[in-house]
Amino acid sequence: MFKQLGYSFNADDCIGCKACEIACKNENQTPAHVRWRKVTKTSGDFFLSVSCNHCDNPECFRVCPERAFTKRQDGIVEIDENRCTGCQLCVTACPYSAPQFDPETQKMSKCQMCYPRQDAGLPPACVEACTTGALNHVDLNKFSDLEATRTLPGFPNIKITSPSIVFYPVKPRKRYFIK
Amino acid sequence: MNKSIIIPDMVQELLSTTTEGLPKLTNKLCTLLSLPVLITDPHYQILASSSPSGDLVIKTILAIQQLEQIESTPALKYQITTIDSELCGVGSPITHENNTLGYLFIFPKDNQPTESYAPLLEFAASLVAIQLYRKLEMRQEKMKFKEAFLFDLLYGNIKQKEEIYEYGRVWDWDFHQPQTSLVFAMTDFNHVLTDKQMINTLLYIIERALLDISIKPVTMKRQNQVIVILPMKAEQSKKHRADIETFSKNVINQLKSLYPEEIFSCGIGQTYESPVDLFRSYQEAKVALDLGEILGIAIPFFTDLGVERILYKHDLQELREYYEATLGELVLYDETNNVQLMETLEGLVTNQFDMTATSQALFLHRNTLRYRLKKIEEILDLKLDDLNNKLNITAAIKIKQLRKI
Repeated sequence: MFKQLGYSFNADDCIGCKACEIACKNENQTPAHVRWRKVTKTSGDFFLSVSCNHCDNPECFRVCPERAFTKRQDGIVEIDENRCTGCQLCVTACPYSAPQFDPETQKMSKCQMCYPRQDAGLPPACVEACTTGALNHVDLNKFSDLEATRTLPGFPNIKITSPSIVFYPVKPRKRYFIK
Repeated sequence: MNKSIIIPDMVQELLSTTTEGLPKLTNKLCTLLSLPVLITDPHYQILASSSPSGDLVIKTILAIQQLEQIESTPALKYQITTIDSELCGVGSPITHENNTLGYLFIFPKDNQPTESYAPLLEFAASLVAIQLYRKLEMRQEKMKFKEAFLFDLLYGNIKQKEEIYEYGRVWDWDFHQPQTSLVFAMTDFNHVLTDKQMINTLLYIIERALLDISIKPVTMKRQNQVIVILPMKAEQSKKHRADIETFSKNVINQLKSLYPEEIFSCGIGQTYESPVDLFRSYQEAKVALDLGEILGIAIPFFTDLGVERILYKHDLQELREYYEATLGELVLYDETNNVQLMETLEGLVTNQFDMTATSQALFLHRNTLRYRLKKIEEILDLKLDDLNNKLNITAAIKIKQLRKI
Protein backbone atom coordinates (compact mmCIF):
# COMPACT_ATOMS: atom_id res chain seq x y z
CA MET A 1 0.00 0.00 0.00
CA PHE A 2 0.99 3.67 -0.13
CA LYS A 3 3.76 4.90 2.11
CA GLN A 4 4.55 8.37 3.32
CA LEU A 5 8.27 8.31 3.83
CA GLY A 6 9.62 11.09 5.97
CA TYR A 7 12.32 11.98 8.45
CA SER A 8 12.42 11.81 12.20
CA PHE A 9 14.78 14.24 13.91
CA ASN A 10 15.92 14.13 17.49
CA ALA A 11 16.91 17.66 18.48
CA ASP A 12 18.61 16.39 21.64
CA ASP A 13 20.99 14.15 19.75
CA CYS A 14 22.02 16.55 16.98
CA ILE A 15 25.45 18.08 17.67
CA GLY A 16 25.54 20.16 14.48
CA CYS A 17 28.45 18.24 12.92
CA LYS A 18 26.95 18.71 9.43
CA ALA A 19 27.83 15.12 8.46
CA CYS A 20 24.34 14.83 6.93
CA GLU A 21 24.88 17.91 4.82
CA ILE A 22 28.25 16.69 3.55
CA ALA A 23 26.96 13.16 2.91
CA CYS A 24 24.08 14.64 0.88
CA LYS A 25 26.51 16.69 -1.20
CA ASN A 26 28.77 13.72 -1.70
CA GLU A 27 25.98 11.37 -2.68
CA ASN A 28 24.16 13.71 -5.03
CA GLN A 29 27.17 15.67 -6.29
CA THR A 30 25.34 18.98 -5.96
CA PRO A 31 27.21 22.21 -6.82
CA ALA A 32 28.81 24.23 -4.03
CA HIS A 33 25.99 26.77 -3.74
CA VAL A 34 23.16 24.21 -3.85
CA ARG A 35 22.34 22.90 -0.39
CA TRP A 36 19.62 20.26 -0.37
CA ARG A 37 20.12 19.74 3.35
CA LYS A 38 20.95 22.51 5.75
CA VAL A 39 22.00 22.39 9.38
CA THR A 40 21.20 25.55 11.30
CA LYS A 41 21.36 26.61 14.91
CA THR A 42 18.06 27.86 16.25
CA SER A 43 17.46 30.55 18.80
CA GLY A 44 16.45 27.79 21.20
CA ASP A 45 20.12 26.73 21.29
CA PHE A 46 19.72 23.45 19.45
CA PHE A 47 20.42 22.43 15.89
CA LEU A 48 17.95 21.71 13.10
CA SER A 49 18.82 19.65 10.05
CA VAL A 50 16.26 20.43 7.35
CA SER A 51 15.88 19.33 3.75
CA CYS A 52 12.80 18.89 1.58
CA ASN A 53 10.14 17.43 3.85
CA HIS A 54 8.26 15.62 1.06
CA CYS A 55 5.08 17.24 2.34
CA ASP A 56 1.68 15.64 2.23
CA ASN A 57 0.36 18.88 0.71
CA PRO A 58 3.37 20.14 -1.20
CA GLU A 59 2.91 23.82 -2.04
CA CYS A 60 5.79 23.75 -4.55
CA PHE A 61 3.70 21.27 -6.40
CA ARG A 62 0.58 23.41 -6.58
CA VAL A 63 2.26 26.57 -7.81
CA CYS A 64 4.52 25.00 -10.46
CA PRO A 65 3.21 26.16 -13.86
CA GLU A 66 5.13 23.42 -15.67
CA ARG A 67 3.77 20.56 -13.55
CA ALA A 68 7.38 19.56 -12.96
CA PHE A 69 6.76 17.98 -9.55
CA THR A 70 5.53 14.48 -8.93
CA LYS A 71 4.87 12.53 -5.77
CA ARG A 72 5.86 8.90 -5.80
CA GLN A 73 3.63 6.32 -4.16
CA ASP A 74 6.10 6.09 -1.31
CA GLY A 75 5.56 9.81 -0.64
CA ILE A 76 8.83 11.13 -2.10
CA VAL A 77 8.34 14.44 -3.95
CA GLU A 78 10.50 14.64 -7.04
CA ILE A 79 11.21 17.38 -9.53
CA ASP A 80 11.60 16.67 -13.21
CA GLU A 81 14.45 18.95 -14.26
CA ASN A 82 13.54 18.54 -17.92
CA ARG A 83 10.21 20.23 -17.27
CA CYS A 84 11.59 22.93 -14.95
CA THR A 85 12.05 26.36 -16.50
CA GLY A 86 13.69 27.87 -13.41
CA CYS A 87 10.87 30.35 -12.70
CA GLN A 88 11.50 29.90 -8.96
CA LEU A 89 7.83 30.07 -7.97
CA CYS A 90 8.36 26.95 -5.88
CA VAL A 91 11.09 28.74 -3.89
CA THR A 92 8.64 31.36 -2.67
CA ALA A 93 5.91 28.78 -2.05
CA CYS A 94 8.00 26.38 0.04
CA PRO A 95 8.19 27.41 3.72
CA TYR A 96 11.30 25.26 4.20
CA SER A 97 13.32 26.70 1.27
CA ALA A 98 13.77 23.17 -0.03
CA PRO A 99 13.89 23.78 -3.80
CA GLN A 100 17.32 25.17 -4.64
CA PHE A 101 18.08 27.24 -7.72
CA ASP A 102 21.20 26.39 -9.64
CA PRO A 103 22.33 29.50 -11.54
CA GLU A 104 24.53 27.40 -13.81
CA THR A 105 21.79 25.13 -15.13
CA GLN A 106 19.04 27.75 -14.52
CA LYS A 107 16.89 25.01 -13.02
CA MET A 108 15.61 23.97 -9.64
CA SER A 109 16.74 20.90 -7.79
CA LYS A 110 15.87 19.44 -4.42
CA CYS A 111 16.30 16.50 -2.08
CA GLN A 112 14.84 13.33 -3.53
CA MET A 113 15.37 11.37 -0.34
CA CYS A 114 18.05 9.33 -2.12
CA TYR A 115 15.37 7.23 -3.78
CA PRO A 116 17.90 5.27 -5.86
CA ARG A 117 19.48 4.20 -2.57
CA GLN A 118 16.09 3.55 -0.99
CA ASP A 119 15.02 1.48 -3.99
CA ALA A 120 18.15 -0.59 -3.40
CA GLY A 121 17.18 -1.05 0.25
CA LEU A 122 19.66 1.46 1.67
CA PRO A 123 18.81 4.42 3.93
CA PRO A 124 19.23 7.97 2.56
CA ALA A 125 22.85 9.17 2.65
CA CYS A 126 22.14 11.81 5.33
CA VAL A 127 20.51 9.25 7.61
CA GLU A 128 23.38 6.82 7.17
CA ALA A 129 25.96 9.53 7.81
CA CYS A 130 24.36 10.94 10.97
CA THR A 131 27.01 10.40 13.63
CA THR A 132 24.65 10.44 16.61
CA GLY A 133 21.62 8.78 15.05
CA ALA A 134 19.58 11.98 15.41
CA LEU A 135 18.27 11.75 11.87
CA ASN A 136 16.21 8.78 10.77
CA HIS A 137 13.75 7.91 8.05
CA VAL A 138 10.29 6.56 8.86
CA ASP A 139 7.02 5.64 7.15
CA LEU A 140 4.61 8.18 8.62
CA ASN A 141 1.59 6.12 7.63
CA LYS A 142 2.68 3.62 10.26
CA PHE A 143 4.64 5.84 12.62
CA SER A 144 3.21 6.45 16.04
CA ASP A 145 5.16 7.68 19.04
CA LEU A 146 3.70 9.73 21.83
CA GLU A 147 7.02 11.46 22.49
CA ALA A 148 7.30 12.73 18.93
CA THR A 149 5.96 16.16 17.94
CA ARG A 150 5.00 17.65 14.60
CA THR A 151 7.09 20.81 14.99
CA LEU A 152 9.77 22.52 17.06
CA PRO A 153 10.31 26.17 17.91
CA GLY A 154 12.34 27.66 15.08
CA PHE A 155 10.90 25.31 12.46
CA PRO A 156 8.71 27.06 9.83
CA ASN A 157 4.92 26.91 10.07
CA ILE A 158 3.70 23.41 9.28
CA LYS A 159 0.09 24.43 8.65
CA ILE A 160 -1.15 23.80 5.09
CA THR A 161 1.92 21.87 3.86
CA SER A 162 1.88 19.10 6.47
CA PRO A 163 5.58 18.17 6.19
CA SER A 164 6.66 14.55 6.47
CA ILE A 165 8.94 15.07 9.43
CA VAL A 166 8.54 14.34 13.12
CA PHE A 167 10.66 15.71 15.92
CA TYR A 168 11.84 14.63 19.31
CA PRO A 169 12.14 17.87 21.30
CA VAL A 170 15.00 18.77 23.63
CA LYS A 171 14.42 17.32 27.06
CA PRO A 172 15.30 19.32 30.17
CA ARG A 173 18.79 18.38 31.30
CA LYS A 174 19.19 16.54 34.55
CA ARG A 175 21.79 17.89 36.93
CA TYR A 176 23.15 15.29 39.26
CA PHE A 177 25.78 17.23 41.18
CA ILE A 178 24.58 20.80 41.39
CA LYS A 179 21.54 21.19 43.56
CA MET B 1 -14.75 -47.41 -32.38
CA ASN B 2 -14.80 -45.81 -35.77
CA LYS B 3 -17.71 -43.64 -34.84
CA SER B 4 -17.01 -39.91 -35.35
CA ILE B 5 -18.07 -37.51 -32.62
CA ILE B 6 -20.64 -35.01 -33.78
CA ILE B 7 -20.60 -31.50 -32.43
CA PRO B 8 -23.82 -29.69 -33.30
CA ASP B 9 -23.41 -26.54 -35.43
CA MET B 10 -25.34 -24.58 -32.86
CA VAL B 11 -22.71 -25.29 -30.21
CA GLN B 12 -19.92 -24.39 -32.60
CA GLU B 13 -21.57 -21.09 -33.51
CA LEU B 14 -22.22 -20.18 -29.90
CA LEU B 15 -18.65 -21.02 -28.93
CA SER B 16 -17.26 -18.80 -31.65
CA THR B 17 -19.00 -15.75 -30.17
CA THR B 18 -17.84 -16.31 -26.57
CA THR B 19 -14.76 -14.15 -27.05
CA GLU B 20 -16.79 -11.28 -28.47
CA GLY B 21 -18.62 -10.22 -25.34
CA LEU B 22 -22.00 -10.64 -23.71
CA PRO B 23 -24.19 -8.69 -26.21
CA LYS B 24 -22.84 -10.70 -29.18
CA LEU B 25 -23.45 -13.98 -27.39
CA THR B 26 -27.00 -12.90 -26.52
CA ASN B 27 -27.66 -11.93 -30.14
CA LYS B 28 -26.28 -15.21 -31.45
CA LEU B 29 -28.42 -17.28 -29.07
CA CYS B 30 -31.42 -15.20 -30.05
CA THR B 31 -30.84 -15.75 -33.79
CA LEU B 32 -30.23 -19.47 -33.37
CA LEU B 33 -33.39 -20.01 -31.34
CA SER B 34 -35.46 -17.22 -32.93
CA LEU B 35 -36.59 -16.39 -29.41
CA PRO B 36 -36.07 -13.38 -27.13
CA VAL B 37 -33.08 -13.82 -24.78
CA LEU B 38 -32.34 -12.01 -21.55
CA ILE B 39 -29.30 -12.07 -19.25
CA THR B 40 -29.43 -10.59 -15.76
CA ASP B 41 -27.06 -10.33 -12.80
CA PRO B 42 -27.86 -12.18 -9.51
CA HIS B 43 -30.14 -9.28 -8.47
CA TYR B 44 -32.14 -9.48 -11.74
CA GLN B 45 -30.60 -6.29 -13.14
CA ILE B 46 -30.49 -6.60 -16.93
CA LEU B 47 -27.01 -7.12 -18.38
CA ALA B 48 -27.99 -7.89 -22.00
CA SER B 49 -31.15 -8.63 -23.94
CA SER B 50 -31.99 -9.48 -27.53
CA SER B 51 -35.11 -10.15 -29.53
CA PRO B 52 -35.43 -11.70 -33.04
CA SER B 53 -37.73 -9.00 -34.35
CA GLY B 54 -36.25 -6.28 -32.17
CA ASP B 55 -39.66 -5.40 -30.73
CA LEU B 56 -39.47 -7.24 -27.42
CA VAL B 57 -36.42 -5.62 -25.87
CA ILE B 58 -36.92 -5.72 -22.10
CA LYS B 59 -35.67 -2.57 -20.43
CA THR B 60 -36.77 -2.93 -16.83
CA ILE B 61 -38.01 -5.86 -14.79
CA LEU B 62 -40.60 -5.11 -12.15
CA ALA B 63 -40.91 -8.58 -10.64
CA ILE B 64 -39.74 -12.13 -11.22
CA GLN B 65 -41.62 -15.15 -9.93
CA GLN B 66 -40.14 -18.65 -9.93
CA LEU B 67 -42.49 -21.37 -11.14
CA GLU B 68 -41.76 -25.12 -11.31
CA GLN B 69 -38.37 -26.69 -12.09
CA ILE B 70 -37.85 -28.52 -15.37
CA GLU B 71 -37.06 -32.16 -14.70
CA SER B 72 -33.42 -33.26 -14.41
CA THR B 73 -32.06 -29.83 -15.30
CA PRO B 74 -31.22 -26.79 -13.22
CA ALA B 75 -33.55 -24.74 -15.46
CA LEU B 76 -36.76 -23.29 -14.04
CA LYS B 77 -39.90 -21.75 -15.41
CA TYR B 78 -40.32 -18.07 -14.58
CA GLN B 79 -42.96 -15.41 -14.83
CA ILE B 80 -41.42 -12.01 -15.52
CA THR B 81 -43.39 -8.80 -15.09
CA THR B 82 -42.17 -5.80 -17.04
CA ILE B 83 -43.67 -2.31 -17.30
CA ASP B 84 -46.01 -3.22 -20.18
CA SER B 85 -46.31 -7.01 -20.22
CA GLU B 86 -46.13 -10.30 -18.38
CA LEU B 87 -43.85 -12.92 -19.91
CA CYS B 88 -43.48 -16.63 -19.28
CA GLY B 89 -39.98 -17.94 -19.83
CA VAL B 90 -37.40 -20.53 -19.02
CA GLY B 91 -34.41 -19.50 -16.99
CA SER B 92 -31.17 -21.09 -16.00
CA PRO B 93 -28.84 -19.85 -13.27
CA ILE B 94 -25.37 -18.85 -14.44
CA THR B 95 -23.02 -20.36 -11.89
CA HIS B 96 -19.30 -20.57 -11.34
CA GLU B 97 -17.87 -22.61 -8.46
CA ASN B 98 -21.22 -22.62 -6.65
CA ASN B 99 -21.55 -18.85 -6.95
CA THR B 100 -24.52 -17.51 -8.87
CA LEU B 101 -23.24 -14.87 -11.25
CA GLY B 102 -26.59 -14.22 -12.89
CA TYR B 103 -29.52 -15.72 -14.83
CA LEU B 104 -30.16 -16.51 -18.48
CA PHE B 105 -33.76 -16.42 -19.72
CA ILE B 106 -35.43 -17.35 -22.99
CA PHE B 107 -39.06 -16.81 -23.85
CA PRO B 108 -40.58 -19.68 -25.94
CA LYS B 109 -43.85 -19.10 -27.74
CA ASP B 110 -47.03 -20.33 -26.01
CA ASN B 111 -47.38 -23.58 -27.98
CA GLN B 112 -43.72 -24.61 -27.78
CA PRO B 113 -42.62 -27.24 -25.19
CA THR B 114 -40.22 -25.51 -22.80
CA GLU B 115 -38.44 -28.74 -21.77
CA SER B 116 -36.63 -29.12 -25.08
CA TYR B 117 -34.76 -25.87 -24.54
CA ALA B 118 -33.36 -26.84 -21.17
CA PRO B 119 -30.10 -28.56 -22.31
CA LEU B 120 -29.19 -25.75 -24.70
CA LEU B 121 -30.01 -23.21 -22.03
CA GLU B 122 -27.71 -24.99 -19.61
CA PHE B 123 -24.90 -25.00 -22.19
CA ALA B 124 -25.39 -21.32 -23.05
CA ALA B 125 -25.44 -20.48 -19.32
CA SER B 126 -22.04 -22.07 -18.89
CA LEU B 127 -20.71 -19.96 -21.79
CA VAL B 128 -22.15 -16.82 -20.19
CA ALA B 129 -20.60 -17.90 -16.87
CA ILE B 130 -17.15 -17.77 -18.51
CA GLN B 131 -17.88 -14.25 -19.73
CA LEU B 132 -19.23 -13.02 -16.40
CA TYR B 133 -16.43 -14.61 -14.43
CA ARG B 134 -13.88 -12.95 -16.68
CA LYS B 135 -15.65 -9.62 -16.11
CA LEU B 136 -15.64 -10.16 -12.36
CA GLU B 137 -11.95 -10.98 -12.39
CA MET B 138 -11.26 -7.89 -14.43
CA ARG B 139 -13.24 -5.73 -12.00
CA GLN B 140 -11.27 -7.11 -9.07
CA GLU B 141 -8.04 -6.44 -10.93
CA LYS B 142 -9.22 -2.90 -11.74
CA MET B 143 -10.01 -2.22 -8.08
CA LYS B 144 -6.40 -2.98 -7.23
CA PHE B 145 -5.22 -0.26 -9.60
CA LYS B 146 -7.97 2.25 -8.84
CA GLU B 147 -6.25 3.76 -5.82
CA ALA B 148 -2.90 3.86 -7.59
CA PHE B 149 -4.48 5.67 -10.54
CA LEU B 150 -6.30 8.18 -8.35
CA PHE B 151 -3.10 8.81 -6.37
CA ASP B 152 -1.21 9.51 -9.60
CA LEU B 153 -4.05 11.70 -10.84
CA LEU B 154 -4.25 13.73 -7.63
CA TYR B 155 -0.52 14.19 -7.38
CA GLY B 156 -0.10 15.14 -11.04
CA ASN B 157 2.04 12.12 -11.85
CA ILE B 158 0.26 11.56 -15.16
CA LYS B 159 1.29 14.37 -17.47
CA GLN B 160 -0.69 13.43 -20.62
CA LYS B 161 -4.45 13.95 -20.61
CA GLU B 162 -4.98 11.23 -23.22
CA GLU B 163 -3.44 8.79 -20.78
CA ILE B 164 -5.92 9.94 -18.08
CA TYR B 165 -8.89 9.57 -20.48
CA GLU B 166 -7.68 6.07 -21.32
CA TYR B 167 -7.32 5.03 -17.67
CA GLY B 168 -10.65 6.66 -16.81
CA ARG B 169 -12.40 4.48 -19.35
CA VAL B 170 -11.33 1.40 -17.38
CA TRP B 171 -13.66 2.48 -14.55
CA ASP B 172 -16.15 4.25 -16.83
CA TRP B 173 -15.08 7.68 -15.62
CA ASP B 174 -15.34 10.51 -18.08
CA PHE B 175 -12.57 13.03 -17.58
CA HIS B 176 -13.51 15.06 -20.64
CA GLN B 177 -15.74 17.27 -18.50
CA PRO B 178 -14.25 19.94 -16.21
CA GLN B 179 -13.60 18.51 -12.74
CA THR B 180 -13.47 19.84 -9.19
CA SER B 181 -11.74 18.30 -6.19
CA LEU B 182 -13.41 18.16 -2.80
CA VAL B 183 -11.70 17.03 0.36
CA PHE B 184 -13.56 15.89 3.46
CA ALA B 185 -11.49 15.34 6.56
CA MET B 186 -11.75 14.42 10.17
CA THR B 187 -9.78 16.57 12.59
CA ASP B 188 -7.88 14.86 15.41
CA PHE B 189 -7.48 11.66 13.45
CA ASN B 190 -5.57 8.82 15.06
CA HIS B 191 -4.47 5.59 13.48
CA VAL B 192 -6.84 3.66 15.69
CA LEU B 193 -9.42 1.27 14.38
CA THR B 194 -12.46 3.34 15.38
CA ASP B 195 -11.18 6.38 13.51
CA LYS B 196 -10.46 4.27 10.45
CA GLN B 197 -14.01 2.93 10.61
CA MET B 198 -15.26 6.50 10.79
CA ILE B 199 -13.40 7.32 7.58
CA ASN B 200 -14.98 4.25 5.97
CA THR B 201 -18.40 5.55 7.02
CA LEU B 202 -17.49 8.95 5.62
CA LEU B 203 -16.59 7.31 2.31
CA TYR B 204 -19.85 5.34 2.31
CA ILE B 205 -21.94 8.46 3.04
CA ILE B 206 -20.20 10.39 0.28
CA GLU B 207 -20.63 7.62 -2.29
CA ARG B 208 -24.29 7.23 -1.41
CA ALA B 209 -24.86 10.99 -1.62
CA LEU B 210 -23.19 11.02 -5.04
CA LEU B 211 -25.32 8.16 -6.30
CA ASP B 212 -28.42 9.99 -5.03
CA ILE B 213 -27.62 12.86 -7.37
CA SER B 214 -26.82 10.38 -10.20
CA ILE B 215 -23.07 10.96 -10.25
CA LYS B 216 -20.69 8.06 -10.58
CA PRO B 217 -18.46 8.31 -7.49
CA VAL B 218 -14.77 8.98 -8.09
CA THR B 219 -13.52 8.83 -4.55
CA MET B 220 -10.39 7.96 -2.65
CA LYS B 221 -9.63 7.40 0.98
CA ARG B 222 -6.34 8.78 2.26
CA GLN B 223 -5.56 8.68 5.99
CA ASN B 224 -8.00 11.15 7.58
CA GLN B 225 -9.37 12.36 4.25
CA VAL B 226 -11.83 11.31 1.63
CA ILE B 227 -11.21 12.95 -1.72
CA VAL B 228 -14.04 13.37 -4.21
CA ILE B 229 -13.65 14.31 -7.86
CA LEU B 230 -16.83 15.95 -9.07
CA PRO B 231 -17.53 16.45 -12.78
CA MET B 232 -19.16 19.66 -13.97
CA LYS B 233 -21.82 18.95 -16.53
CA ALA B 234 -21.74 21.43 -19.42
CA GLU B 235 -25.38 22.45 -18.95
CA GLN B 236 -24.88 23.01 -15.22
CA SER B 237 -21.89 25.34 -15.19
CA LYS B 238 -23.81 28.10 -13.42
CA LYS B 239 -25.39 25.75 -10.90
CA HIS B 240 -22.17 23.84 -10.25
CA ARG B 241 -21.08 25.91 -7.26
CA ALA B 242 -24.47 25.76 -5.59
CA ASP B 243 -24.61 21.99 -6.24
CA ILE B 244 -21.23 21.48 -4.60
CA GLU B 245 -22.30 23.56 -1.62
CA THR B 246 -25.52 21.61 -1.16
CA PHE B 247 -23.70 18.30 -1.55
CA SER B 248 -20.99 19.25 0.97
CA LYS B 249 -23.52 20.55 3.49
CA ASN B 250 -25.53 17.38 3.14
CA VAL B 251 -22.48 15.16 3.80
CA ILE B 252 -21.26 17.25 6.75
CA ASN B 253 -24.76 17.30 8.30
CA GLN B 254 -25.09 13.52 7.97
CA LEU B 255 -21.71 13.08 9.65
CA LYS B 256 -22.57 15.50 12.42
CA SER B 257 -25.73 13.59 13.24
CA LEU B 258 -23.83 10.26 13.19
CA TYR B 259 -20.81 11.40 15.20
CA PRO B 260 -21.83 14.51 17.17
CA GLU B 261 -18.61 14.53 19.22
CA GLU B 262 -16.26 14.53 16.20
CA ILE B 263 -15.34 17.47 13.99
CA PHE B 264 -15.47 17.05 10.24
CA SER B 265 -14.49 19.71 7.75
CA CYS B 266 -14.25 20.11 4.02
CA GLY B 267 -12.45 22.13 1.39
CA ILE B 268 -13.20 22.77 -2.25
CA GLY B 269 -10.65 23.47 -4.97
CA GLN B 270 -11.13 25.26 -8.27
CA THR B 271 -12.70 23.64 -11.32
CA TYR B 272 -10.19 22.73 -14.03
CA GLU B 273 -10.92 21.95 -17.66
CA SER B 274 -8.07 19.53 -18.09
CA PRO B 275 -7.64 16.46 -15.87
CA VAL B 276 -3.86 17.00 -15.81
CA ASP B 277 -4.52 20.08 -13.65
CA LEU B 278 -6.69 18.18 -11.21
CA PHE B 279 -3.77 17.92 -8.78
CA ARG B 280 -3.92 21.70 -8.40
CA SER B 281 -7.60 21.47 -7.50
CA TYR B 282 -6.73 18.82 -4.90
CA GLN B 283 -3.96 20.92 -3.36
CA GLU B 284 -6.26 23.96 -3.34
CA ALA B 285 -8.99 21.95 -1.66
CA LYS B 286 -6.56 21.03 1.11
CA VAL B 287 -5.50 24.68 1.52
CA ALA B 288 -9.18 25.68 1.68
CA LEU B 289 -9.81 22.93 4.24
CA ASP B 290 -7.01 24.12 6.52
CA LEU B 291 -7.85 27.80 6.20
CA GLY B 292 -11.56 27.08 6.58
CA GLU B 293 -10.82 25.37 9.91
CA ILE B 294 -8.78 28.35 11.12
CA LEU B 295 -11.19 31.02 9.91
CA GLY B 296 -14.31 29.09 10.89
CA ILE B 297 -15.80 28.81 7.40
CA ALA B 298 -18.18 25.83 7.13
CA ILE B 299 -17.90 25.18 3.37
CA PRO B 300 -14.70 26.90 2.24
CA PHE B 301 -14.12 27.38 -1.48
CA PHE B 302 -10.52 28.11 -2.46
CA THR B 303 -11.73 30.81 -4.84
CA ASP B 304 -13.47 32.63 -1.98
CA LEU B 305 -10.45 32.84 0.29
CA GLY B 306 -9.35 36.24 -1.01
CA VAL B 307 -6.39 37.93 0.60
CA GLU B 308 -5.88 35.01 2.99
CA ARG B 309 -4.58 33.04 0.02
CA ILE B 310 -1.57 35.35 -0.14
CA LEU B 311 -1.17 35.88 3.58
CA TYR B 312 -1.06 32.26 4.68
CA LYS B 313 2.14 31.50 2.82
CA HIS B 314 3.84 34.85 3.19
CA ASP B 315 7.07 35.17 5.13
CA LEU B 316 6.24 35.06 8.83
CA GLN B 317 8.77 37.68 9.90
CA GLU B 318 7.50 40.12 7.31
CA LEU B 319 3.90 39.53 8.40
CA ARG B 320 4.87 40.14 12.02
CA GLU B 321 6.58 43.38 11.10
CA TYR B 322 3.56 44.50 9.11
CA TYR B 323 1.19 43.67 11.96
CA GLU B 324 3.45 45.45 14.42
CA ALA B 325 3.66 48.54 12.23
CA THR B 326 -0.10 48.66 11.64
CA LEU B 327 -1.59 47.70 15.00
CA GLY B 328 1.38 47.49 17.37
CA GLU B 329 0.57 50.75 19.12
CA LEU B 330 -2.97 49.64 19.84
CA VAL B 331 -1.86 46.27 21.25
CA LEU B 332 0.59 48.07 23.50
CA TYR B 333 -2.05 50.55 24.67
CA ASP B 334 -4.43 47.69 25.48
CA GLU B 335 -1.76 45.93 27.53
CA THR B 336 -0.62 48.98 29.50
CA ASN B 337 -4.09 50.39 30.18
CA ASN B 338 -5.90 47.08 30.59
CA VAL B 339 -8.56 47.85 27.96
CA GLN B 340 -9.87 45.92 24.93
CA LEU B 341 -9.77 48.43 22.09
CA MET B 342 -8.36 45.74 19.80
CA GLU B 343 -11.52 43.71 20.33
CA THR B 344 -13.61 46.73 19.30
CA LEU B 345 -11.53 47.21 16.17
CA GLU B 346 -11.85 43.51 15.29
CA GLY B 347 -15.61 43.81 15.71
CA LEU B 348 -15.64 46.81 13.41
CA VAL B 349 -13.67 44.94 10.74
CA THR B 350 -15.89 41.86 11.04
CA ASN B 351 -18.93 44.09 10.51
CA GLN B 352 -17.34 45.77 7.51
CA PHE B 353 -16.78 49.13 9.25
CA ASP B 354 -20.53 49.58 9.74
CA MET B 355 -21.13 51.50 12.98
CA THR B 356 -24.71 50.33 13.54
CA ALA B 357 -23.95 46.64 12.93
CA THR B 358 -20.82 46.79 15.12
CA SER B 359 -22.57 48.46 18.04
CA GLN B 360 -25.32 45.83 17.88
CA ALA B 361 -22.86 42.95 17.61
CA LEU B 362 -20.69 44.19 20.47
CA PHE B 363 -23.66 45.26 22.63
CA LEU B 364 -22.29 48.79 22.77
CA HIS B 365 -24.06 52.10 22.67
CA ARG B 366 -23.41 53.91 19.40
CA ASN B 367 -21.78 56.81 21.22
CA THR B 368 -19.52 54.53 23.26
CA LEU B 369 -18.40 52.90 20.01
CA ARG B 370 -17.87 56.32 18.48
CA TYR B 371 -15.76 57.33 21.47
CA ARG B 372 -13.68 54.16 21.31
CA LEU B 373 -13.07 54.51 17.59
CA LYS B 374 -11.95 58.08 18.12
CA LYS B 375 -9.55 56.81 20.78
CA ILE B 376 -8.26 54.14 18.34
CA GLU B 377 -7.74 56.82 15.69
CA GLU B 378 -5.73 58.87 18.20
CA ILE B 379 -3.56 55.92 19.25
CA LEU B 380 -2.88 54.72 15.71
CA ASP B 381 -2.66 58.27 14.39
CA LEU B 382 -4.82 57.59 11.36
CA LYS B 383 -8.34 58.15 10.07
CA LEU B 384 -10.60 55.10 10.06
CA ASP B 385 -12.71 56.38 7.18
CA ASP B 386 -9.76 56.37 4.79
CA LEU B 387 -10.10 53.39 2.44
CA ASN B 388 -6.36 52.66 2.44
CA ASN B 389 -6.28 52.60 6.23
CA LYS B 390 -9.31 50.32 6.29
CA LEU B 391 -7.51 47.96 3.91
CA ASN B 392 -4.33 47.93 6.00
CA ILE B 393 -6.23 47.27 9.24
CA THR B 394 -8.31 44.51 7.64
CA ALA B 395 -5.15 42.79 6.34
CA ALA B 396 -3.47 43.06 9.76
CA ILE B 397 -6.50 41.56 11.48
CA LYS B 398 -6.63 38.76 8.93
CA ILE B 399 -2.99 38.00 9.72
CA LYS B 400 -3.96 37.71 13.37
CA GLN B 401 -6.93 35.47 12.52
CA LEU B 402 -4.65 33.19 10.50
CA ARG B 403 -2.77 32.63 13.75
CA LYS B 404 0.38 33.96 12.20
CA ILE B 405 0.94 36.25 15.19
